[in-house]
Amino acid sequence: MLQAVAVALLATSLMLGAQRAHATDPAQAPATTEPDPGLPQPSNAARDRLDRARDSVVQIRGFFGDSQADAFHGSGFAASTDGLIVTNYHVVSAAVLYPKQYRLEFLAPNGANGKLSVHAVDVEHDLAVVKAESYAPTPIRIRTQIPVKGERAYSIGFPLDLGLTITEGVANGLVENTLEQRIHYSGAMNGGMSGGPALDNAGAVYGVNVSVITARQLVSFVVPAKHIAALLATAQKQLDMNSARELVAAQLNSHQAALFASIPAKLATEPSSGYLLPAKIAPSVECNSDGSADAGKPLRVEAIGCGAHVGVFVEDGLETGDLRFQHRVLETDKLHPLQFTEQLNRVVEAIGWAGSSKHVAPFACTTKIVALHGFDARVSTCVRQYRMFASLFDIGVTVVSLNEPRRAIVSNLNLRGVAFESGMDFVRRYVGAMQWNP
Amino acid sequence: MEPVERASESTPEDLPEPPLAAAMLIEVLDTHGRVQTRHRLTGAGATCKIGRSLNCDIALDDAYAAAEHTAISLLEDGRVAITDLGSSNGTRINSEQGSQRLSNASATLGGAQLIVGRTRLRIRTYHTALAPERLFRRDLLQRNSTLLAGIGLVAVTTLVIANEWLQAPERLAPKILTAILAVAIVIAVWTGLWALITRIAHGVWSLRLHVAIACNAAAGVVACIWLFAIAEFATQWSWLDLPKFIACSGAVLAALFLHLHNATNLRRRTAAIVIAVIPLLLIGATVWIQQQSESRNVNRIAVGTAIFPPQLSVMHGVELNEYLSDIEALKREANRKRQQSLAENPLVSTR
Repeated sequence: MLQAVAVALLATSLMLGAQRAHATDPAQAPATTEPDPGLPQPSNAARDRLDRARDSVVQIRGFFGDSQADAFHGSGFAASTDGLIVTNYHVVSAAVLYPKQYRLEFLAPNGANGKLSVHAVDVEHDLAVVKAESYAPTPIRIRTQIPVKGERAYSIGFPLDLGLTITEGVANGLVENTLEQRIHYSGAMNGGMSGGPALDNAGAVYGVNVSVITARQLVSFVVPAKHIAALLATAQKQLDMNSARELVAAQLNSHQAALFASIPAKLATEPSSGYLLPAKIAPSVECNSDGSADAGKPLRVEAIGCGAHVGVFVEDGLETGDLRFQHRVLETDKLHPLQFTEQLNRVVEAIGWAGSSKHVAPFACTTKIVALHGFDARVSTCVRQYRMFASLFDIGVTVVSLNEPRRAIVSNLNLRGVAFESGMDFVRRYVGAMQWNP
Repeated sequence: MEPVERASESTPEDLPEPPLAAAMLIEVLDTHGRVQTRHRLTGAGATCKIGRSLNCDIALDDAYAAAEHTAISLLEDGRVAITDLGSSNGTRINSEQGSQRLSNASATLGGAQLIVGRTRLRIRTYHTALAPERLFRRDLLQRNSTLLAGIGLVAVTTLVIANEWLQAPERLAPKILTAILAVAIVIAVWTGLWALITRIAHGVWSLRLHVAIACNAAAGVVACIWLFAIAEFATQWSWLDLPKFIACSGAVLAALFLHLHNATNLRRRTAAIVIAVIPLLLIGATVWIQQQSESRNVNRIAVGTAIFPPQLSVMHGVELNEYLSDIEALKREANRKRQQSLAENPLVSTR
């Protein structure tokens, strides 16, 4: 699927890179093949970790229908003696949600292969447990202690379908100020390594490879190993695929409940141009601000954006369970009120949502002028329901102040994948926290 | 002007005596029904042959006419006798009773249209009924087309300037000039098209008339949209959408009717029907397609109408609890849309 396409594109570019390397002018090539004493020596430790893990890891491959060409692939490793294999939920999500369309297989480094069945999923932490038929790879020892910053670490997997690979880097502890528990790994990780083991210097698994920030320098993330043990305890039986969607929905509900529980009842506000607006409402919510720096512009705009950044992968094209809001404060002393509201309308019209009709139904909206603390505002609330998960909704709220002819706020709240009641309770607190306090 | 006696439909026995010697006028018409050439014959027994041959009195440049196609003879009682001279395509007569192929020699009082090949001819005799004198048009639009065209141009220019001013660009003057130029080109092309049709149908351009119609209608539609937008903001009445649509599209239809009525020979009723049917069908289809597309667009949010300065609003805000009290209705509507979405595109089954 998309993952496979991305892998194909990357593979193509790598091959092109290799051809360019071969095309180098021989006259400019080094005269000898002796190793340059100035270059760092290959890590014996990495070689040793890879050798020891070789019998424990497998490539997990997904196939559409009866096709023999894989639709997606990732990595996994044995975590128990009874053949249970740990991987990421996002590696096997298609087979969990569409079991009639996709099948899973494994391919071990020694050439062994066979079918896989799903035994447990943890959508919130992006983990899954699968089991191989008649194949029991050697389990790797698991370490639940979070590595300290600067600890030597390794990641193993099958990047870009290029074969078993190990990368060496540094673990940088838990990512700070987020509900989403992730260990920051400063080392290379590529598509296809998802679900592979992240090893410490002693060769124990401290986590599971999960994601990477592209277009940045070696910023990768690992799911802490402490979540593996809990999942393995529920993985003794094969998952009933007819109820897998209900299980995923329940876990998404649990995730959004935890998100709202982490936010205090009274939302913290910050002043901006006479308005008090919700800002850093919880430690896990990060805010940043920006504005038009040119004082000569007739319209001054200040933008404050906040987000919990706790999106959960559900399936290709659907990441949910997140909370974000943005305030834009517009002010002018040069424009006529009619010109000002024209600019204001442009800002309001630019508000948009992303989503696929495969996953969500269209929005239903209601709009009214509402008397808030000290000012009137037009409040629009839009709600759309998930097609596969009836208990989950996306909720969008747009607040436009209507109390000043040359000053206004446009506040936009986005809640993704939340229960209707708890989402609306948060909307009530969010809108109710706004004040006009010049 | 020759003296004319109006003839009525009557039998040859009842025919009044022609005041002068019998006469007929054969008019060759172009494709728009306008007279190309006239041929006058007088005296009973006078005959006119029509065809492509140079032997004919009226030589046609028509590949579908025979060399000697039709003969027209003037009878003593003032009627004419039409005889097909054995052509393959035949001769047809268009009268109020319809079009029919001439089988035998036929006598007529005149007034009928004769079709020879693809050429139309009209025969007039003293017995042909004359239409009453057509009055000069005295409607408001035609009498004041210059004034109305001027008013329309000023209105359009003002609205263009106002629109550009509203956008508050950094360099207003060049923006205004560019916008005026763009609008002028559009109006020129539009009115030029209608003037050309008028020239073909009536022989006059009537450019000012069409400028008056186009400019006033454009200004009216823009003003209509703005006024309704302000009214919707002031009252927050969402039902104003329908009267807004009716009023603004009504202005467009009225302008199209005036263009069509003044540019063509269509009767008032026919023009009204054309304008009512074709644009309404087009507008209806467009609105329907748009609504269907919007109702399926899962990322479309309705955040209300355009915002204007708060002083223009006459509504007071409701309490937040009151606003959220009916939120269950929103949930029901979202659920209805989900059901509709699932009905149109069911989920892939797990069983």
